[in-house]
Amino acid sequence: MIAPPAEMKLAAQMPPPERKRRNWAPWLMTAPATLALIGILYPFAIAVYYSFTNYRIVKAEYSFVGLRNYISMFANPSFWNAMGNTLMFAVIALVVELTLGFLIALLLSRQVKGVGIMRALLLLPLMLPPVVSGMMWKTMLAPSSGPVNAIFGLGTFAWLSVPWAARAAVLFIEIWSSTPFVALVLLSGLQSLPKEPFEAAEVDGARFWFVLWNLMLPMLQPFIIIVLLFRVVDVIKLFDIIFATTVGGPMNVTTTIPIMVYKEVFQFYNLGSAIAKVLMLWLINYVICFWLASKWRKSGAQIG
Amino acid sequence: MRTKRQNVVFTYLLMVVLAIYILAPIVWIVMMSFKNKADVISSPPKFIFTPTLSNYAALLGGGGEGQLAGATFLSYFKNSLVISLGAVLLSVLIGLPAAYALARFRFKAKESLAFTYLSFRFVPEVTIILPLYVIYQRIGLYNTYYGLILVYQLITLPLIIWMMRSYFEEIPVAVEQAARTDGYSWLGAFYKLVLPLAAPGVAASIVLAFIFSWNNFVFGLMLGGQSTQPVTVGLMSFMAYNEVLWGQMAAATVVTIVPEIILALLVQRYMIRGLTFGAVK
Amino acid sequence: MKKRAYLLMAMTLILSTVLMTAGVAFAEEGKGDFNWRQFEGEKITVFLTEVPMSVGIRENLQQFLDLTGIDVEYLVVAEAQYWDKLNVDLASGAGEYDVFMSGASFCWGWSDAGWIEPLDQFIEDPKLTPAEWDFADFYPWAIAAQRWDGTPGPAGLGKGSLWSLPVNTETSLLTYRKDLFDKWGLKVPQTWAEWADTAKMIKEKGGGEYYSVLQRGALDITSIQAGYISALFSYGGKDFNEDLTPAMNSPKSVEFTKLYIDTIRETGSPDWASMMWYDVQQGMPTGKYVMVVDGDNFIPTYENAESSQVAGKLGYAPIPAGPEGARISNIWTWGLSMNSKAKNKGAAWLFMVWASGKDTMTAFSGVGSWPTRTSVWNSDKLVELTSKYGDGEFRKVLEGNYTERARWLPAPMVDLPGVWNLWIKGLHNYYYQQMDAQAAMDQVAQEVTTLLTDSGTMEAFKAAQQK
Repeated sequence: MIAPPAEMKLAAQMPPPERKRRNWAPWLMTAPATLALIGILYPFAIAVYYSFTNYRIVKAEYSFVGLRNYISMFANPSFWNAMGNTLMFAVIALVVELTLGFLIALLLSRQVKGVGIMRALLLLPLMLPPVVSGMMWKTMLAPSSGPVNAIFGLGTFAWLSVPWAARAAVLFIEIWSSTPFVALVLLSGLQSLPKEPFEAAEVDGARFWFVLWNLMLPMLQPFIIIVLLFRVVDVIKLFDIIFATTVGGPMNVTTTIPIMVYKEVFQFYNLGSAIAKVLMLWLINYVICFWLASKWRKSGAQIG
Repeated sequence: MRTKRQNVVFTYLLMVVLAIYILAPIVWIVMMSFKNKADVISSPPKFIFTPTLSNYAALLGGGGEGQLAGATFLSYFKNSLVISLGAVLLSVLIGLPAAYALARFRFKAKESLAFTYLSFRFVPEVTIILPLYVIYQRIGLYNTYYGLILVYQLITLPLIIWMMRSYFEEIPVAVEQAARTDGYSWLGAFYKLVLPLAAPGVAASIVLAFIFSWNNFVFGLMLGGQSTQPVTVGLMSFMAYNEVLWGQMAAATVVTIVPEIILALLVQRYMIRGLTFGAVK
Repeated sequence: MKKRAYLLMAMTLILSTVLMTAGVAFAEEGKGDFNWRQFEGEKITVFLTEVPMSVGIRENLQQFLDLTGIDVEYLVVAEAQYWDKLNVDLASGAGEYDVFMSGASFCWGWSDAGWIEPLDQFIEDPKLTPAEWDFADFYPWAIAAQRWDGTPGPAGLGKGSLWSLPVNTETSLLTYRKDLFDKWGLKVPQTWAEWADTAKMIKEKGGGEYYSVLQRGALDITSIQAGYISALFSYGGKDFNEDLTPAMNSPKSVEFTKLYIDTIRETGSPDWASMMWYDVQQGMPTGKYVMVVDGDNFIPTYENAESSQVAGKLGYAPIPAGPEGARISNIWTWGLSMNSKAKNKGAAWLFMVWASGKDTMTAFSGVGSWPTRTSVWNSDKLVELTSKYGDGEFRKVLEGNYTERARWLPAPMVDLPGVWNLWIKGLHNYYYQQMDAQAAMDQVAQEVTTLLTDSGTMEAFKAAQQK
């Protein structure tokens, strides 16, 4: 009774017979996209090169220094602090966003009146540009003049100046802003799932958790992977919100690698060592996304 | 029967909670946009106040306090419209075929190609901004719409390709094959069947791509000039000398959101219809 | 006989007429010989940030276009993004902007990189600078702050080439709630020790309604600039010794830092660590704070009757003195610099002359934008404007600053923003009591030394010493 999705998925992977001849077709169809993006490889290559030099943007001359930037980066406790913060924010944000996003998607997939409006409103937090959202949140979290303290009766608690609270605040703002993205993708994923398996399961009297765990989540896997692929990268790159609210403080507790890199470039002028740090992020993103993408391939072939 | 009613009530309750969670900060920002200078940073915060339209008047009238010389808020807004719509349009034009190819065909290096598209997002913009600025200046793309639309592909194209790919993969090949045997051309089958079935995905990708491109800041700031800088750069202009014009910044934020909301509403109905394979078969 | 007499008279008449005309012609040449139109038809690009000066330029630009026939294109970007965009352009060598706004501390890096043009050659050339522009009218300390000979450290300041034309200046002073001081019978603190004591007294008498002190503290380089560094130097501390070793951890520096941070921690608001400049500027008008030591450019906002709770209730005093009686105020100047890659340097210079001239400066001096020319400071417009605040006390304090107390304090070097980045982090460490004041400042000193060594500044300094 669960057969149909598997068949369909397998079929989707097989090339339609008449297309075997035209195997230049995919290359042609992907060529424009490739061309549009390929230009970025050159600046990226230059940036990578800089990481092996002592290039300071205020000095025209620079020289090749090999791995020196990387070695001093690994020996720098500030780097590890920033990396720790980056990863901690990423993990917490992703876990919360996925869970919350899924629950919201479930809720909004119900056919009740008014759901359409909710779906449209859902995206509002995402629509606030991060540069200004951070500033607005800073005013909302202000100790004496902010509505958050006033509404929850928290006196003059200085959210952005108490280390643990600053981290919580940054996480909250990021989660509030981006959970709609997760919810939307999962919702449209839910919308696109075939109805037969669920109807069949209902007929069979299956309970909600069974349906959830054995039917819904596996079928949603591609969408969950998409969500993760994009959210992981974005939350690791998170900058504007932190910069507008805490500038990485207090005492570097909200300093992530992007914040550190920004200051490295525009205050210390050290482009070479800044890019070395950025490339660490690139590596982490690469590894995580590679693993996720491989799960994607598997999810297509594995059922059946 | 009672359980079903309870179910509905419970659902509505949850939706109210969700609405509050999503909307409360937005409502506060809207309130800020109607406050005068003293109220907007008053301590304690004012929930009841005399509203004023002066912020919107200054904003839309152009040239008011905080409006940067030579570029009114409306001109930033126009730039954002051109750039974001252009970027999304271009991404759909070149991304849809790419996504379809990745979904349907098996070819060497397919996964590597798909992954490569994704990998362009792995680094923060600050990494490449200096070399990119040099290149743009040299080839004359600095401060042009074309230049910005092109660089915005980094934001919109990977998203559209990957999301569309996943929706295309959900549609069984059998559907297309059935259409072909019914006499449709390949393109016809694509338009009449595949695209409508993938509608929720297309809609979601377009809205998200537009939002992310609309929200971008660094590329617009660094690679744009007087005539092309987007609204996100304009929003920062309310950090004027000696003070932050919160009321106007809030009003500008509200106005900034409007095109995104319009697009979301327009596209929202395509996201409702679920797939019914039974009907197709 | 008569005929000859007439001939003689006619010749004399003609000769004297000729001589007179020639004389008049010479005289006129001396007066109006400055050719404003010498670069007619050329084009320049100007990059500005939104300070009143750029508003003034925008509004009066037609006057410049009419006067010179030079075509001007300009771009204005908000301050927070201005430096980043400008640095990207300068570093790229693209030379997009001929003239741009500068601040003294950024000129150090730019001049070292060769990105800006030294200006003395233009000032000294009478063909390029009209006499009535009056270079001597500028405050000497404002001009000195723009001069650097390239040697890192305190010794290089005020010497060498002029890197920017200052048009706008900010100094530090003490602003306090006169009404509350009168109510509680408090005296205006004359020293920093008194400042700390007064803060404690305010806390007692305030009954929890007020915060005694308001200072910048966000983890941003601008937090060092106005109040803290002026106060530090007044107290006898400093940032660097003459030999370029760090002095943030000197006994006097540590003593002051401890006093300053302790007072803020005990009597200030709990969000010191997220206070940016604009939080100070909009904090005072809420009425919750009693004393603030920061820039004079915020005063018009404090005194804006429409939006401030404390308008008309403020008193002004010079920055409190250190134990040796010194009162020193750091300055910030906004100025104009010229791109060394500018194609039309003459045209660019004329623009700078016009923008910094007496008339233009008077036009845009006003709400929080204080001029760098004595004549403009003493113009009717500014006298009237500045005498409004604090019943004339404000103007008096500023005049005292201008004549006695104001000078550029931080030691010039390319690494200045990096130094301040490390310094504010150290202040945070002490504020949150992660370590005691001496240890926190020692760490700053150590990190700064590493910074100067790694960036090659130390080496450049030692090389210059040996010459």
